[in-house]
Amino acid sequence: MMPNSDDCTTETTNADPMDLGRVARPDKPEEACGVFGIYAPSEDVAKLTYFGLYALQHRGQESAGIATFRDGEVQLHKDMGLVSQVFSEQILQTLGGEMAVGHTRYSTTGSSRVVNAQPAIAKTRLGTLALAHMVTWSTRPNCEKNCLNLTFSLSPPLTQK
Amino acid sequence: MIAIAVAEAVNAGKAWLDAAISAFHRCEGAFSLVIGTPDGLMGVRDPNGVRPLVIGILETEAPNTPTQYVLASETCALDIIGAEYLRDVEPGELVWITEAGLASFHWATQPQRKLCIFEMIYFARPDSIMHEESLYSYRMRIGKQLAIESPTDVDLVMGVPDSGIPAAIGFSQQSGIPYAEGLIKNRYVGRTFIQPTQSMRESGIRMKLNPLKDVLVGKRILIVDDSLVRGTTSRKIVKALREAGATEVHMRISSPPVTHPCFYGIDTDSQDQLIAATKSVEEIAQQINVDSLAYLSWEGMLLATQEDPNSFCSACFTGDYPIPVPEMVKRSKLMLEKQPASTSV
Repeated sequence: MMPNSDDCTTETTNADPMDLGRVARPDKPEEACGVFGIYAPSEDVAKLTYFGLYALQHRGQESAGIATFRDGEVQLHKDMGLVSQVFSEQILQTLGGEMAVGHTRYSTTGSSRVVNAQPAIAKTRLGTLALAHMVTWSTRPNCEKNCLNLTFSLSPPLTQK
Repeated sequence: MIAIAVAEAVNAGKAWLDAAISAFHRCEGAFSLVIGTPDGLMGVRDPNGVRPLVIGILETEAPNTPTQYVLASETCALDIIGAEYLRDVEPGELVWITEAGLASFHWATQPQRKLCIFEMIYFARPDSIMHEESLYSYRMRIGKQLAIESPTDVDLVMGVPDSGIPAAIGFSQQSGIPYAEGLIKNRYVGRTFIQPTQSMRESGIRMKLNPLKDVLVGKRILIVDDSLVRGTTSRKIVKALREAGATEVHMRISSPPVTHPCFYGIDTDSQDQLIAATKSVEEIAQQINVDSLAYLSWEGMLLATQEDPNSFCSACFTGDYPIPVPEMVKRSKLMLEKQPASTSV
């Protein structure tokens, strides 16, 4: 009865539409996390996001990441560790723009891997998106049927009106 | 993942907002998220608003700058960068922040308020604001409620640092028993509740809490903690207090017994690891070696919110999950039969 979870990780949409290495499926439901987003063209959004995440460190101490947007171009840095371990002045200087999203993550054993760090990046025809979430179970791509495993359930997509 | 679902919908021809909303309609469960796109910043809460998400405004003196917005899980992240709290993102709301300002879309068909009460009891920082007050204030009130429900005759009241302290102060104020610090925390290491492995939890306690012998010796102690999930940490704390010379150790928990796993974003492990799911309060008291143990009542916890009691998710205490949990997800955390729990011995 239980579908092979590998069925759902195959890449079947447009050629390499997203970085699957970075948005890999977690092994278990994800845990409470800290998310932060800022739109502030007059500010150093990378640094403000860093301090925002620093204040949200209690919500996740396993990994941290920041993605910044400058004129539609995305720069991303994320890694395992506390916010203060993942970022340095030098790294923050490489990030910048008018907008940023950030994430601190906690997870259980088994998914303590940098591939599960966020923000997740996905390339689209309209440009790259960066997503930081705290979520338990959610949809998965290309698994409209029979795709229910320990982590995810899926309802069919709404028909386009 | 939601990122892939949104990307798919965009690549199928939708614009950002349509794509995101169609992806959210395919999502089950609890989620709060922030999405950056080349055209704007999105903030979203699930239709039940289980996890918090707040909006702030960052003032600027720079000329010709559009209104600068901040989204964050908690208000403490606004304070640190000098942003002003504006409002919460509502359950089932999407906010779209661009040069033109903030636009709001209520995308969910049946939104309702089911904020995780554990956010208020433990998870969020005490200086974060929910329901127009700091969580410190709420935690003080549940401590007072606990003192009303389960008083006892002791010399000192103390809290398990840091999360048990506001409730301990409330307990002390209500009961008139002096408050003291008997455990000093090394604040430069993470909290035990959120370390990844059981073995790390076991070994972590001594690094974290150091008892003050001269405060504790010869005293009857009442120690307040915010929750008692597995019991391993509590047992070590009680042992440390006794070794430091406390003659009696009573424990009060400023939340009801956690009997059910969380499927909405907090890792409370599988149900068989939740001590209150399998043991009575008497058995737990014995296991952690306290002279008495009492939990806050579920009614008391909700009463102290001073909000509509139906506007919270308290499934970890009751098993009444506001969002249906798929059977296979449930099985992943080994659900036991539903059982009522008493709250004190």
